[in-house]
Amino acid sequence: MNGPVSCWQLLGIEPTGDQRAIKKAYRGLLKEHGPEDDPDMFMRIREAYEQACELARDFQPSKAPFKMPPNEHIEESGVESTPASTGLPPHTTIVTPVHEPLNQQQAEHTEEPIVPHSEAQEPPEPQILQGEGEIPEAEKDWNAAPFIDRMQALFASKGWRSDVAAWQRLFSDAESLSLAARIEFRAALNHSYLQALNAIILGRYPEPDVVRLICAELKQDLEITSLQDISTSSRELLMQTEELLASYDRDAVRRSRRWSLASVAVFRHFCSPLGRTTAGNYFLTLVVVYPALLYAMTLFQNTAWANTAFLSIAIVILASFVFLSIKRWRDTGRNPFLLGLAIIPVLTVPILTMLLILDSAPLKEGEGSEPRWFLFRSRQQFSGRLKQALRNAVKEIAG
Amino acid sequence: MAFIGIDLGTTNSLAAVWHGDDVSLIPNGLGEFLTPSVVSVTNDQTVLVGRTAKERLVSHPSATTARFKRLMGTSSTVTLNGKEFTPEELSALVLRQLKADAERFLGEPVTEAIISVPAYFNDNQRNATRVAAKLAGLKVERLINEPTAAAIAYGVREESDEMNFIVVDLGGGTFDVSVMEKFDDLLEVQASAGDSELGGEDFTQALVEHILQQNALSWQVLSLQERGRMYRQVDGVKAVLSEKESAEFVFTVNEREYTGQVTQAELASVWGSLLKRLTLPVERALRDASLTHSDISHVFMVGGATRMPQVQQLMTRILRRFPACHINPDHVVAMGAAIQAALKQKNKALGDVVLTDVMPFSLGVGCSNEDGQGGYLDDVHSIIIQRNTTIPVSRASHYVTLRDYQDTIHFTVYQGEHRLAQQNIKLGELSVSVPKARAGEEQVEVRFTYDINGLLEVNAKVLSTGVTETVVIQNSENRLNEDQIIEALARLSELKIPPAEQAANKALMARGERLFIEHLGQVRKTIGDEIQLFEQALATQDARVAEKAAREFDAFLNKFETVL
Repeated sequence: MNGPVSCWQLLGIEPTGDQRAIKKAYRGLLKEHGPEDDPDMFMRIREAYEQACELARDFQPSKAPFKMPPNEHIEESGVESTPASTGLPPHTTIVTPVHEPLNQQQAEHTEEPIVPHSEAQEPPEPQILQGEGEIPEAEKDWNAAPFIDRMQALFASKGWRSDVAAWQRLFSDAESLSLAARIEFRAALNHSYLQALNAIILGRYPEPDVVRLICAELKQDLEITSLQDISTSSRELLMQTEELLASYDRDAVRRSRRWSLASVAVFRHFCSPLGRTTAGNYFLTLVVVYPALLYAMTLFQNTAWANTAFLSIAIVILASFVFLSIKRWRDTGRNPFLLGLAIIPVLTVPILTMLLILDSAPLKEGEGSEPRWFLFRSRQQFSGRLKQALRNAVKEIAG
Repeated sequence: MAFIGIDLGTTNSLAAVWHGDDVSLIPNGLGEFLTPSVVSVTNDQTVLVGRTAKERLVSHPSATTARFKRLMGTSSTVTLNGKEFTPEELSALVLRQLKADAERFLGEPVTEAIISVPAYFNDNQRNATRVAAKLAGLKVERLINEPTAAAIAYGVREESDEMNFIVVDLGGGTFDVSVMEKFDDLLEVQASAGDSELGGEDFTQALVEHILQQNALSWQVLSLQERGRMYRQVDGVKAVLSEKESAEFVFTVNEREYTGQVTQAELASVWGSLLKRLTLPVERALRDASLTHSDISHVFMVGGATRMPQVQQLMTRILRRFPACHINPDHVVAMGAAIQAALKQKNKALGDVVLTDVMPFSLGVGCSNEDGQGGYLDDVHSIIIQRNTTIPVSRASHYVTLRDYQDTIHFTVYQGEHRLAQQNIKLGELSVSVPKARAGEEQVEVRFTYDINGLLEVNAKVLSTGVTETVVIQNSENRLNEDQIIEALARLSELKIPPAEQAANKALMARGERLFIEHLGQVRKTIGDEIQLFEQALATQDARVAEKAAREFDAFLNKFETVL
């Protein structure tokens, strides 16, 4: 206990696990030192009271079957030597290991024995209140269990990522839950959602609308919790999902710009400055299109068109290589001149294929710098390099 | 010297006093307990408050204002008949009226009062209420939270010695929830939560907008007069719908008649989002008190808007208990305030009831946290006093310097729950000088002391030197200083107040004028004639003639008074 006076001494009672006794002592002291008349004393009493209540909660299990030796002194020092902040029930230092599991179990339920205790002494409801009283437990929509089952079944189903309507139905039905049931439901949702998200490693993420619905439900819980209470996992989950939602929004913008026609896509990949050429595109070009063109060339052998065909196809291949090289340069910023190797036909195709596929991963959108049309990342870099080169040249001449 | 309790509400206000061994409500000049919180200014600069002013909301909308409690603590002003008023001044006018009524009723001067405010009122709003009381010539030492006041009224009367109960207060403009515990004579607020922007008026407004939408109209196209009339009619519809399945009424916009029809099913969808907002504070209060609905033995409903069956059903569902409202929900707050006033005077009949209250907001300072990767997260709200801590309270936290050889530490004090300091309400600032040392070596202890009157004292102590800096938070741009208060007092004293004897006739006349506007054609003409007759009767200055005319006029007007 902190300070020279223990909370029990201030309250004027022996250490006890009886909440009512503590409350009574507290109440008695307030008669003299109310918050209005004696605020300083009140603050001390209040602090002692809160501390005593805290200790009493841990105290409860020590009244369990294996009662401690009826030695007041040991009991008191046992309580006092254990700092409240460790979170360990004070009796754990004394109890033999055999009883530990039983004890732990009880500690988890410490609050329960107290509540019915005070309720049992509650006088009957006053008659004047018309219709007042507890509503029967039997009402089924106040029980969270069926909703939790429904939610888990939904997560287990294949459609959980996209079935917005099912989620909407679930959450609107859950509106009818009572407070405690709702909180229970959300806790379960939090858990299942985290599991579901973690299970996705390479798979498809849920639809944004589904994430939005789940987030809205979970956030309600976070809003009513004070800052300190939010567990790290919940906060992480929230950040994770918010990030996910943001990426969905970016995606949606991109998707809205995407043309669906395949021909347009091909044009976009190969002929327009928009979009990025991927390894798959290079592969397609080098392994399928060029051999096809070369094969077409053989069809014209021994005809009057042989020369014309050879020339035009060679020009198409060369031109496309030039174009591809420019495109690759723009997409990845890598040196375009290697592609000049394409001048030597047939032999270099496998080499180029390997090179292009392995060394042409385009920069991701939103990552790194924007695509560039110049050899240097920026004008500053260009002028910097130029100056450096000039300086070196000057040094050399002067040297 | 009387000490009264005042409920200064968004829609209605009233005063009560502890009389011998029970509370009596104080009637106003018209013999009613509730005085509508409406202020109107006539052309000859006379101020009308209460029912008379409420009637003028329809007939003189530009000279009349209501619901100004919502503006408390902000710097917005209201212009009535060319004169500008701050919300504090408008509240002061209502308080002055209540004070005058109480003095007439008690036959002695009233100098001190306890005024109730929504629990969720912040520091600025509370201070505005104090200023209003000062302007009305009332000494106000304590403000009491509305649900706490209601809890006192219920708690003192309730027989049982030990119970947890919850007070749900949905007033005209604010929503508050308090979880209370009664143990012997000790009444403890365990947690308060609320929404200071949600009240019965929002429900009316939502319904008005729904009905206008049905008829392809909008709030914007209505003239001021039409708005006042519409609002009044829909208020009536709301009352009818609390008993009947559907309601129908006729309203006139721009000389054209429209029919508004509302059924219960529509009501559910129109109010759905508002009702949903009622759940959150209940959850929060229960959670902060670490109780569940099964620990709660009573639910008490306070505030006129809790009469709505939808609200009662919602509370029954989420708390699994039928709410009780056996004390009139409009009166209970004022009664509680009066009991608190009596407690303060150590009234014997009450024994020694002790009351403790909580602070509904968290208080803290902005700081930087290590993010675990060598960097810092800036602008984090580091809470020193958690919300729903019993007041008075004094708590301290320790902070260290962030950079090498830093010579001052600057603290900004915030009130609110958001993780980021900037998102909360800033209350004040404080700087302390520290000896130059390596980062993290100098420690400052920041102590917050929050007293029962809501004053926050911030104390920063440098641990190595023992130097202490203290500020009492008296912040904010909106706050009036002494000079401004004197100036406002002078301005208010220029306004005339009608003598109390005429109050009834004034109200009757205002009602006549409202009905004149609400009707058309022949009926309007008949009403106009009757008003003239009544005016003539008043002009004779003969008390008996005037009294007879008033009675007849009242009976005449009643014929035209329909709810819808």
